[in-house]
This record gives sequence, C-alpha cells and structure tokens, in this order.
Amino acid sequence: MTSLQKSKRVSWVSIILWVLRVTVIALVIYGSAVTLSSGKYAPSSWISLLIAGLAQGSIYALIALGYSLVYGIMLMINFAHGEVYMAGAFVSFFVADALEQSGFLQAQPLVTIFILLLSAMATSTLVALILERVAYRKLQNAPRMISLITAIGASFFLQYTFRGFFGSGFKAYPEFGAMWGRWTFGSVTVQVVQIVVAMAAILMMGGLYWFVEKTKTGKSMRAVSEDKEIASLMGIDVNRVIVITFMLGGMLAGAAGVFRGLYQPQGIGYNMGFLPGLKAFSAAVLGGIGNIPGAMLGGVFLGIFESIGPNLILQGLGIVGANQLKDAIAIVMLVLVLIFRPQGILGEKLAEEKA
Amino acid sequence: MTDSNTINTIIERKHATKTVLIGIYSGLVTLFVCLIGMVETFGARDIIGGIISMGHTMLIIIAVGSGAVAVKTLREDMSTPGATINKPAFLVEIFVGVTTGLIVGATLSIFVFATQLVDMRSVLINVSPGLLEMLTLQQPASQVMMTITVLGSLLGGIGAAIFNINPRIRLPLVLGLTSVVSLGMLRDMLKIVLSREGWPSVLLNFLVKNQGLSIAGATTIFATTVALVIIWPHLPKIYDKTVRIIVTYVPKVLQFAVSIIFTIALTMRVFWFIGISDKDLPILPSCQAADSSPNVDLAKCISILSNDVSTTSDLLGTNLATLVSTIITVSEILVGSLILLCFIFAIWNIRQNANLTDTKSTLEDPNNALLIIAKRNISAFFSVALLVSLPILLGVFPSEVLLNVGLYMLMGFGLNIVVGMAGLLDLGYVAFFAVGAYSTAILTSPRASIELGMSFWAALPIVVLVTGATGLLVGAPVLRMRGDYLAIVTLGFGEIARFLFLSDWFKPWLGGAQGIILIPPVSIGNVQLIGPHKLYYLIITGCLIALFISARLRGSRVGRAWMAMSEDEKVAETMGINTVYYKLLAFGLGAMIASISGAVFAAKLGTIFPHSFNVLVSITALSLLIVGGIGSLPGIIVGALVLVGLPELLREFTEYRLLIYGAILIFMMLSRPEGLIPRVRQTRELDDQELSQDAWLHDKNEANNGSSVTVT
Amino acid sequence: MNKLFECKNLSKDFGGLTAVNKFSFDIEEGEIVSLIGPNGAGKTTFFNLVTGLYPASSGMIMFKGEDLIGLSPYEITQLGIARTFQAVRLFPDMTILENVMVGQHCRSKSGVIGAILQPKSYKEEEERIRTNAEKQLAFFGSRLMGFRLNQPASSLSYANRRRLEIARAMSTEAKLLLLDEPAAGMNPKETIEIAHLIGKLRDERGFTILVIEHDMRVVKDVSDRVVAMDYGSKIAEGTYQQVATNEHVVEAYLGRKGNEEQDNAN
Ligand SMILES: Nc1ncnc2c1ncn2[C@@H]1O[C@H](COP(=O)(O)OP(=O)(O)O)[C@@H](O)[C@H]1O
Ligand SMILES: [Mg+2]
Repeated sequence: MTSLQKSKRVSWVSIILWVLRVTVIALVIYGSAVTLSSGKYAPSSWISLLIAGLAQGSIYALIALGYSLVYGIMLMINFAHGEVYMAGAFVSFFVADALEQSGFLQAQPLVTIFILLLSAMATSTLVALILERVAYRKLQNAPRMISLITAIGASFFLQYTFRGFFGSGFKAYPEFGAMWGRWTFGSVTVQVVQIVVAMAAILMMGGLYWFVEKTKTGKSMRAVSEDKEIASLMGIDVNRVIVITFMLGGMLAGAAGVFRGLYQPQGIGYNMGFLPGLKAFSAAVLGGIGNIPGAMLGGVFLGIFESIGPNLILQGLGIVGANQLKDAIAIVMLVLVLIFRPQGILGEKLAEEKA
Repeated sequence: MTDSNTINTIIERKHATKTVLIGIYSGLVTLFVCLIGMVETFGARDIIGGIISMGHTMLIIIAVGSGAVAVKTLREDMSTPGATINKPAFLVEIFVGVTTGLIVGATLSIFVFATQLVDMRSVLINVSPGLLEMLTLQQPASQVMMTITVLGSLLGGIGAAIFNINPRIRLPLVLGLTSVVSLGMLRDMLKIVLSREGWPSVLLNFLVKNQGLSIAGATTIFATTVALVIIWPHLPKIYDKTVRIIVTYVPKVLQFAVSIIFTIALTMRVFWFIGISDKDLPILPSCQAADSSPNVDLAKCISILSNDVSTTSDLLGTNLATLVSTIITVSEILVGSLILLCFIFAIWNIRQNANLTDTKSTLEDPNNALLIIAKRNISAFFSVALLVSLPILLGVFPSEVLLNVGLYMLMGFGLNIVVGMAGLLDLGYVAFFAVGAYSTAILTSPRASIELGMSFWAALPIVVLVTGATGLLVGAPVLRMRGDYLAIVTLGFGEIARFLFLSDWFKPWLGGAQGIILIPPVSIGNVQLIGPHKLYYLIITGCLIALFISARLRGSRVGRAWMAMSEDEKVAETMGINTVYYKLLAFGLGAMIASISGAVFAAKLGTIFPHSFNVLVSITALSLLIVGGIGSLPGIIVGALVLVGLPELLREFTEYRLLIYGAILIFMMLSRPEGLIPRVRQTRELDDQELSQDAWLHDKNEANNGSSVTVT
Repeated sequence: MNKLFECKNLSKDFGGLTAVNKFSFDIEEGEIVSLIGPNGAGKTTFFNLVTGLYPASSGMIMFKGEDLIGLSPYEITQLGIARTFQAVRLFPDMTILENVMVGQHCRSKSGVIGAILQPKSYKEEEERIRTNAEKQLAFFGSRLMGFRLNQPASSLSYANRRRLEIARAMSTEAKLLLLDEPAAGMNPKETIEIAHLIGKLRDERGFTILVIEHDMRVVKDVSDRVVAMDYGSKIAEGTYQQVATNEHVVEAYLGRKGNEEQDNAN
C-alpha cells in the first residue's frame, strides 16, 4: 500500500518529462544567450539566415500540406509522400535539362519555370494517384500500422524504381541566371531565388486555402475529415474526395520539387525525398496534423529554425560542426512536440481517436 | 466460325475487359522489369548454358503468368453465384490466355520498335543495346516484332493450358521446372560447394556447363525433382516404419553408442575446422572471381578446408592427425549422406508438432509415445548436426552469406520482441545495432579514444548493458505516443544516431566518417575466430539463444502482457498490466539482442563506419519479420534466409533488394498482413461455424436440464 | 468507513460538456447496484473515472479506504476493481484461455528471468494461473471450454464474447466488478441468463457488483439498489420500485424518448 501511495499523483514518467522540458528550455536559452552575447554574427546576417530559412521552410510547408491533407481525410501517415515530391523534382529535372540543351531555357526562363511546374505537378499527381489506387485504396479501414507499413514499402519501392529507371547518380538542375542575383536592402542582402520561392509557395498555399474553404469540393473534403461515415451518408463520394486530396497533395509536392531544384540545384537523386519527407512530416505535426494553416506555419517555422538554430543555439553550447546537426533538429523538434503538445501549435485538442 | 461465336456469347463484356486489363497490367510489368534493368542484369546469367538466360526466363514467366492469372480470375468470376456457367470451356480459356499473352508480346514489341525511333537512353539508363539484343534475339528490330508478339500469345496460351492439366501431373511439372530454374540461378553456389575431389567434382562437371546448367544436368534435376514429388507423400510412412524398426529392434545401447560416436566425430570435426590456422586460408574468392578463373583459388581453399592430412599433421602431429583425419572422413560421409534426410526430418518435425493435438490421444499408447519421442530426438539431433556442419560442407563464401543471414536473424529476433510481441513499430532499430557495434569497437579497439583494448568477451556484457540502457533512453520519451507516431519518431532517432556518429562533435570519440578501425577479432582460448566460417558458430549460438529466449518469453506471463498490450493498450492497462514497464522492457530487451548482433558485426569487419548503419538496415529487419509473419519465430528464420540470404547468393539481386523489399511490404500488407507463417493459424472464418456450434451446445444443455456441462 | 466503495462530488468535464457532475455515491460490500440512465447520461464516463482511464476533474473516489484519484488503471485493478466494456473489448488474436489468463496478471509476478529459466516456482505459478482461468471459464458452462480454449477470441459469437469479457474481469480476483451493459445485444433468452449469472456472481463468487443496464427486467431482477443518472448527475436512488416510479426518472426517459421520436419524425 505504501508503494502505491508513493506513485500517486505524479508518476516518475511525468517527472522525467518535466526534467526534459526544463533541460531543453534551459539549453536553448543558454545557447542563444552565449551566441548573442559573443556578437559573432551581425544582425544583418541573422536576417539573411531568416530569409533563407523562409525559402527552405516554404518548400517544407508545401510538402507538409500533403501529409496533413491526407492525414486529415484518411488518418494515415502517407510515408511515401517524400517520394511523390522526389518524382516531381526528378522529372522536371529532365524537362529542364532538355530545355536547356535546346536553348529555350535561356531565351524564355519564365515560361520554362511554368513548364517545369506543370510537368512536375503532373508527375507528382500521377504518382500520388497511383499510390492511392494501388496501395491505399484497400486499406481505408485497416489498422494504422498496416497502412503505415504499406506506405513505407511504397516509399522504398518508389525510390528504387526511380533509381532503376534513371540511375543512382545525383543530377544538377540547370541554373537560371536571373535567379541568382542579389537584392540589397540596407545592410541586408538576399538572393532573388529565395524571395521568388517563398512568394510562389505562399501564393500556392493561399490558393489551396481558398480551395478548401470556399469551393464545394473543399467543403466536402472538410466534411469527410470531420466524419467519414456521416459525410458519406450525406451523399458525399468519399472515394472521390480521397482522390482529390491525393491530387492536391501531389500537385503541391510537385511544385515543391521544382522550387527545390531552383533553390538548391545540386543533388537531385532518388533518395532526395526521404529526409525532406521526414522533416515535412515533423512540420505538419508541429503545426497540428490535419490542420492546413498549421502545416504552412509548421513548415515555415521549421525552415527558419533549421537555418538559425544551429548557429544560434548549438554553437552557443560549444558544439563543433553545429551545421552538421541541422538535419537532426527537425527530428528532435518532432519528438519534443509529440511529447509535450501532440496536437501541435494550431491543432485543437482532437478527440482521442484522431489525435 | 462457330468457335468464335461461342466465345463471343460465353465471354461477357465484363470478363473481356478484365482479361484485357490483366494483359495490360502484365505488359506494364514486363516493361517495368525491362526499364529497371532486371532483364538485362539477369540476362548475364544462364539457367541452361548457352540456351536460356535468367532474364529470358523472367519474361517467359511473366507471359505465362499473365495467361494463368487471367484464366484464374475468369474461373473465379464465373463460379460466383448467379453465373450460369461454372467452368469456362477449354477453348475459351486458351483464348483468354492467348489474348493476355498477345498483349504482353505486343507491348514488348512496341517498346522495341519505339527504341528504334527515339533514343531513350539519356533518360532511361537501362534501355541499352544489351537489353535490345536480348529482346530481339540479335535480329533486326523490325523483323522481330511479329515474332515477339506470336511468342507472347503462345506463352499466354501455355499459361492458360496449365490450368487444364491434371493436378497430379501439373504439380511435379511445375516444381520440376522451378527446381531447374532455382538451381540454374544458384549455379555459382553449386560450383563452390561441389568443387572438391572425388564424386562432387564429377557431379559438378555433369551438372554445370560454363555459363549455366548443362542440358543433361537440367534434365537430371528435372527428373529427380519429379521423382521426389511423386514419392514425397509416401516418405512419411517409410520414415515412420524405419523409426519404428529402430525403436523396437535396435538395442538402446547401440542407439546411444551410435549417436555418441556421431556426436564426437562431429565435434572433433568442428574443433579441427575452427582450429585451422588462419594463414592457411587463401584470400576468399568472391563469387564473381570464381566465374572468371574457375577453380584455381577455390580448389586450394577447399582442399585446406576439407580433409587435408598434411595441414592437419602440422597442427597435431602425425599419429593424432591420422586418427583425426579418419574420424573426419567418417563424419564427413555421415554428414554428407544424411544431409538431405536432416532437412526432411526437420520439416516433418514441424508438421508433427502442428498436429500434436491430434496425436495427444495416441500418446497414451506407449509404443506411439516412444515413436514420437524417437522422431523428435532424431530430428533435433539432425537439425543440430546440420547447423553445425553447414560451414564445413559449404565452404567459405556460403558461410559469409550464412553469417550475414545470422546477423539479421539475430536482429530479427530482437525486433520481434519489440514489434511482434509488444506491438511497438520501431523503425530505428538500426540505432541499437549501431550502438552495439560502436561500443564494442570503443571497448576493444586499441585505436579507440579510451584505449581500453578489452577482449570481446569482457566487453560483451558492458556492450549489452549499455545498449539496453540506450533502449530505455529511446523508449522513455516515446512511451505515450500512439503507434504510427512512435514509428516515425523511432525512425528519426535512428537517423539522429547516424548524424551523431558522423558528426565532428563526437569525432574525437567515434571517429566521424572514418569510423573506428583495428577492432580485434573474437578469440576463444588460443583460437581466433577470423573468417565467416568460424564466426558462423558464434552467430548461430547467438541466434539459438535468442530463439530460445523468444520462445520461452512468448508463452509466459510477460509474453501475454505484451500481446495484450499490442492488441489493446487501454484494456491491457485496465486488466492490471503496467504498460509503461512492459514497453520499456521490450525496448530494453530488443536493444540488448541487437547489440549482440552489432558486436559480432564489429568483430567480423574489424572496422566500422557510420554509413553501415542506415535506415535500410531497419527496413531489412522489419521486412524479414513481416515476410515470416509478425510474431512468428520460424517465420523470422525463413524471412532472414529468403530476404538476406538469397540476394547475397544472387549478386544480381543486390541491386534490386530494396525494390523487392518495398514490393513485398506492400504485397504482404494488402494480401495477408499476418505473413507467410502466421502466429495464429485459426482465422476469423470460424465465425459462422461458431454460431452453429453455439446453437448446438445450447440444445445439448437444454437436454441436460440446463445443468452446466463442464468439459475438462 | 465500512463502505467498500465511495465517491464524493465526482465531476468530469470534456471541454464545455460536463459528462459527470458532482456525482456522489457508495456501494457496500456484497451489494448489487444498478446504474441506469438514458444514453449519454455519463454512466460509461463514470466507469472510466473509477477505473482511472480518465482523470477526474474534481471530487474523490475511495475504495477499501484508498483514494483512487491519480492512480493508474493497472494500480486500480490491483486494488480490486475490474470492469467490462460497453462495446466488448477483448484481445481478439489471443486465445480464449490467454484472454482470461491475462486477467491474472496482477495476481502473479514472474518476470523475464523466470520465464527464461523456468524454475519450479514459475511453473507452479503458470499452472495456478491456468487452473484459475479454466475455473472462471467453467462458470459459463461448456461454452467457453474444451476445444474453444485454444481458439482466438475473435472466433467467438457476440454473446460469448460478452461472457469471455466477464470471465476475464473475474480472473483479476477483484472485489468490485463494474459491468457496462452486459446484456446489450443479447436475445431475450440470453438476457435472462445474464441476469441469473449476475446473481450467481455475487452469491457463489462473492463479488460486489455495479452494473449499467438498460434492460429493466434485468435491473429489476438483480439489483439490491438502483441509482439513476441524467446529464451527469444522480437523479434518484433506492429500490427498483422507488426509482422506477420516481418522476425525475420517468421524465428523463420519457422526455428523452419524446425528443428522439421528434428527431425521427423530422
Ligand atoms: N472522450 C470523450 N470526449 C468528449 N466527450 C465525451 C467523451 N466520452 C464521453 N463523452 C460525452 O460524455 C457524455 C456521456 O457519455 P457516456 O458516459 O458514454 O454516456 P452513457 O451514459 O450512455 O454511457 C456524452 O455526451 C458523450 O458524448
Ligand atoms: Mg455507455
């Protein structure tokens, strides 16, 4: 009885979690304080990092939306979404390459980007739809673990299919001359491409938001995400909604692929989708999975944090080669969010079976 | 004319569409395997030397398969209630098969034609001249289109016809062909295993002809398989009878003596095998090298590995050497001649266990009881004998494969505790493997930062404990997460581990990208376990222990708690199970087992790099678990052999390993999530049966005046 | 202090909704108490509070003189409260025997080492768990016995699943059983049998029982005392006759029914 008395009220798990929470906050504050007080970086370089983070973050946000949309409707983690993004980037690389060889790219850069976007979005949408039809359609009511394992299988299948088709070497996007200019505002210099990517991504997300909030299809999507059964009783074709959801996710991921190619031309390869996919998923969870503005916010936040965090916090803590650990930040953030606020920043407290 | 009329009337449009669709899908699959490079890669390997390659076989299988699948679907559709005809006519089936085959052939020929028009190679790297050569059989493309299409139709038709053969003929036929194809693919293995003086090399020369099997060899294999399949059903009776005779007529003492002699011979053989000094071993010929310069290195290697008296006498002195070599020869003959039987015995024992409930009543008959016990002993004995003698029989390269299989199998057993028993999908399992390998390296390597230079055995307990603690550390934050989040987070942890191993931050301790070198080999007494054929014994011991632990845990209170937790966590908690504790326990134990695998891995390579520990390791371990059926222990063994062993035997496969794993994961989840060897054999189909039994029991109770009948 | 179970001012909020509202109530050892109330009254939520699945918003729960607030579900089970679920929740892939054996978890203690080395004490304990489980199953006659023991729970019929769930709760050797609509979905014959069983559970096995039930015949047959609940609060308490004729209760049922009929009409 006394042993029970002891474990009452606060279990030791909660104590550990509290210690963890305090430690993390203390480390963040301490690291930032050290870095800031050392004055190693001028304010203007922070702003440059911020803008770079914004551009990167908006790419994450576009991918994150795909996770969030599908999760909202089907309550499954589409682990292969990173590969949907990769497919778009990959195919648009070949288009870009062909256009560059023919000289069209140099003559009409804007039209080229438009063509690239179209081809990438088409490819990614196609891949997403095939995924849905072949792998996920049958699993709509399966346990989540089953659909997750299927998605993991699909992820590797797609990666190695692309590797088999197109080779394992990394490819480099052609460079768009105008994109690599710099704009200077006072002491702050930013790259044109960063602004372009961020603006375009924000525009697309706005479009998506409008679609989901205002159109009839968008409304039925929301109805399905509220309650699949009731929605289907109301006469909504759930399968159609799911297909549209995958299409939307695919389109955004394809666009993200092109933006990635513009922003970081190097390293287009079959496994380029894995880490960004993981990070975008983290972003979606950070913003509150199933929540559209949440995914956008989460993506942008993650991008910025990834760009500033290593310099600000890790360097302050005296960690050598802090930028090598950049990729780990998203994952650590995912863990922390899931422990302390599983519903994410914007997520309302969902009913148990949804969260 | 009348034929086509009947066809039109019998095949409804729905079925026609389905047939065409199956044809198109098969055509796409054909294109897929061409574009992904499989056909060309496999084309380099002949099944029957100079006649047919593996690549061609693959295409043939797809075409025949398309016909077969189409006919099967048609039959299923037609036998649904409401349809007037239950079995389509023979001609209709052939027609269906030919149609799908035709579509496959046409797809391929259009592809060939298209390659003549546009250069695809700059994008699709596998559309190479080599591939086209294979597809066109070195004919000009324009002429060959017709041939391909006709060939396709023909094969589709054959696929359809297979269904109309009497099953008693079909089974041996299909299995015979399968074994020809399998042995053809494993030709390198045959070479390695049979390259020794005496009958093996004669057999080898008979079976194998430069690039593949000889025609005579293929025919023999086919005939042998057919014969085996035909006598297979009678074997258990013969076996039973033999065992019965032994049990009743051969005196106990003699039985005992034979097994003792056998055991001693085998043990000495193994000790001698492990004890050969390492400098006597030539550089291991890789599979490919054996191809180009046949039998030179190999022969030397084999002569040393097998019974070579002069080498032995260096080690042991002449008299003893003669004795030892005699024993070895005897044991070798015993082992060699009984190997096939071992295999059969092992399989039968599994079957027997499955039927044990039936045999329970017969157990009361003392004679039967003796028989069953004798059978069990025999198969246990031979299973152990087989396991122990495998590296001796197979040689160095196959032992390397077995060692890798063993490493993954051990990981599989560990992961099974976490995923299969406790139901926690851990995708970052590689992290524990890595921690095991790294901590072994740090503790044993004289070059490591702390320069402890411990021996493997001294380090092992520390390694296991450290990794177990890491397991708890990873487990603690994810305790309250729901299944799918837990999976992604553990995946993330696995990646973080790799980043940390790679990072400059930890470079002073973990060596960054260069890793840690000069990890000493494992030694037992004065013998160093260098080379896969020796480490094999280490890993197999590990696997057996892990198997034992898993089997014991599964039926225990702990296992039940895990199973309950994995099925319904909330309910498990209200049934009095402390889920926090059991989750941590699973993570800790799983990590410990992985660490042993990691430790052996480190000792095997002598050097470890962070790149060896990527997510693909976790995925491989997960896949082998799923192929075997989550939670099934024999499934893990089969899964490891198939998923890790096969690709290593067939080097062509390595390229496509993860592609195939991915496809397998999807396929398994869609078709049979419980795996090939499911944990619970009974399925939910029992439901209806149950209801009727219920009613029956109820009536019976009524008849007994409602008094409750207890069956014990 | 001789009450077996006691709760005072127990409340549970879900966001805006108060599912259980200042609920006070007690049970004496050896009683069979029925908890009734229209759908959504908060009965199941009350069970979830007692078994620790939901944390209470306020109030206290005492069992055998122990405060249950803040304890984990498994600790509460260990103290001697076991339950069944409104929507039957078994371990579907475990066998029937294993399902019941799990119930003995909190009354046994062998761990990993014991399982691997299997000393004598381990074997004895396993044997004890097994006999106990078979004993619980035998309570339901031959339905769950014999060849069924080793079949997965998912192969059972609906009524048998309910029985198995009760057997599982029994095997925790609890003092107090909480049964959530044990007769739901059963045919009249089976319902009568369940009512009979509930009585037997107390008389032969010595359980104290709190049962949620909609079927008034069952309530009438089994209960020593009936508690009625609506909108999370207690609206009546007493013998079956007292409660059944209580105007609040009648209103709660009829009023609710009237609304439902209106809904249906719409
Ligand atoms: N997990 C939950 N989250 C939010 N509301 C809940 C939850 N569980 C129950 N409720 C609400 O509490 C009220 C009482 O439900 P319940 O206890 O199940 O009623 P009943 O008396 O029929 O068993 C209902 O209105 C229900 O919607
Ligand atoms: Mg209820």
